[in-house]
Amino acid sequence: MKLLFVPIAMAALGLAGASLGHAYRQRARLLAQLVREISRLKEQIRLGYPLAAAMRQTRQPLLQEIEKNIAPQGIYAAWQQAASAERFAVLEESERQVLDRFWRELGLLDKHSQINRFEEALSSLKTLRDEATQKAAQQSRLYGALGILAGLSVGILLW
Amino acid sequence: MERPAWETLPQPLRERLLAEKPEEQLYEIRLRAGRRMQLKGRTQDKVCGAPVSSVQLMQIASALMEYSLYAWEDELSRGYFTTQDGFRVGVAGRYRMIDGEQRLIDIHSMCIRIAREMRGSADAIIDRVRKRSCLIVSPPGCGKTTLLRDIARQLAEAGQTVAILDERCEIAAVRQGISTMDVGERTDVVEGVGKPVGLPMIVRSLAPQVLITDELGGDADAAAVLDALRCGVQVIASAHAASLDDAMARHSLRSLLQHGFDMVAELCLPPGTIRMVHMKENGVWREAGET
Repeated sequence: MKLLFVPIAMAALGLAGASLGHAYRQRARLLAQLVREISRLKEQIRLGYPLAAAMRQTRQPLLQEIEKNIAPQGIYAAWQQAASAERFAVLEESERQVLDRFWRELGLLDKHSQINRFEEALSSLKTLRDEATQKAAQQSRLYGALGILAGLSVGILLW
Repeated sequence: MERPAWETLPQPLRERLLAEKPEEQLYEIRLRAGRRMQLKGRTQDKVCGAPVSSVQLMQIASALMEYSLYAWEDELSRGYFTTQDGFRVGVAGRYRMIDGEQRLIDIHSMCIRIAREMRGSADAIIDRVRKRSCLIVSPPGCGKTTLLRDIARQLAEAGQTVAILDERCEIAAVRQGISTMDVGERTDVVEGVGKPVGLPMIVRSLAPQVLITDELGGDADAAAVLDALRCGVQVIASAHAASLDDAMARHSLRSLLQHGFDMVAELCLPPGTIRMVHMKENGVWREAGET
């Protein structure tokens, strides 16, 4: 009976550890999606399309969602609405600040300055994405290992 | 009652207009920072509502530009932009030279000209226009663009292949590739390109029977139109001038009237009124009567 319990406890606590690492992976994935979608948007803006048309043409899910809410409150309000969704809760404060500044200024600048803001935001987001990806891998491994060790410890204590 | 064209304007402005309940179709809406809104229709001209603050003016401008200032910066440097519904918005404000280019840095007031379709507005002259190259002249706000739109529609419906060079994107008001104004089923629209470049391009690539364009300006425009006429394309265009005589006095239009166009239609207020038609016979301009 005890022999059966040890692997079960190890697997259960290992999975619990992996699920703790999941939030880190989700954050890295979200940042990667933002980098991808904002890069596509930049190309459309470079061609001179107005925001709504540019967002539609990227065929990216997040941008299309934001585009639907541009009227009547404007682009920043549309972004805030999209960012209030639960999946954005994984973002850290520094990431929110970069995104808030980017969306706040979107559409209010001349083309040259707008493209510069895209470059700045993308550069910051790529750095944050790489850090998040690295952290996600480390944390996933760490929590997975801790879970297995905890399972093993529980098994030993019960022996 | 006909649905007002201004209903498509963005919310901050539409709310102001709804509060005023304009009694007739609006032709122009003028907004000035710190002043009340001015509404102009066929017969009315009134100022009304609460004064528009600078912030409200910028919010309305931003919404009219679809929250995409960068997309209109070239037009803004020339003092206007055109909304997606084909409403031309003239802007007054402060300009500054930035990197050798004239840039608008602050908007003080806006004049929004409501684009409309007036089906049948060309009925009085369409039979004469069918085989002639025609210049439509009038002071601003008399309906030149509206008349061009109806001429395009009627000629296309009569079976002619029409091409429109819509430099300011207001004749056809194309949105996502589709004209929001009815300019006919046999009509192609080229937008946003100047006449010296656009007219030869259209003649070569679209082979139109009739070429329609708005607001001829300088000598380069005139040369491009003359070239198109020499290629055997019928041209119908508009220009700012109070009369044929005034058009003749404009250097860039004189050569066109001498060697190009053989019909001139003069418009006057109220918008859409054709005051006089002139025809050229054996090189001499004669009045062909009021319509």
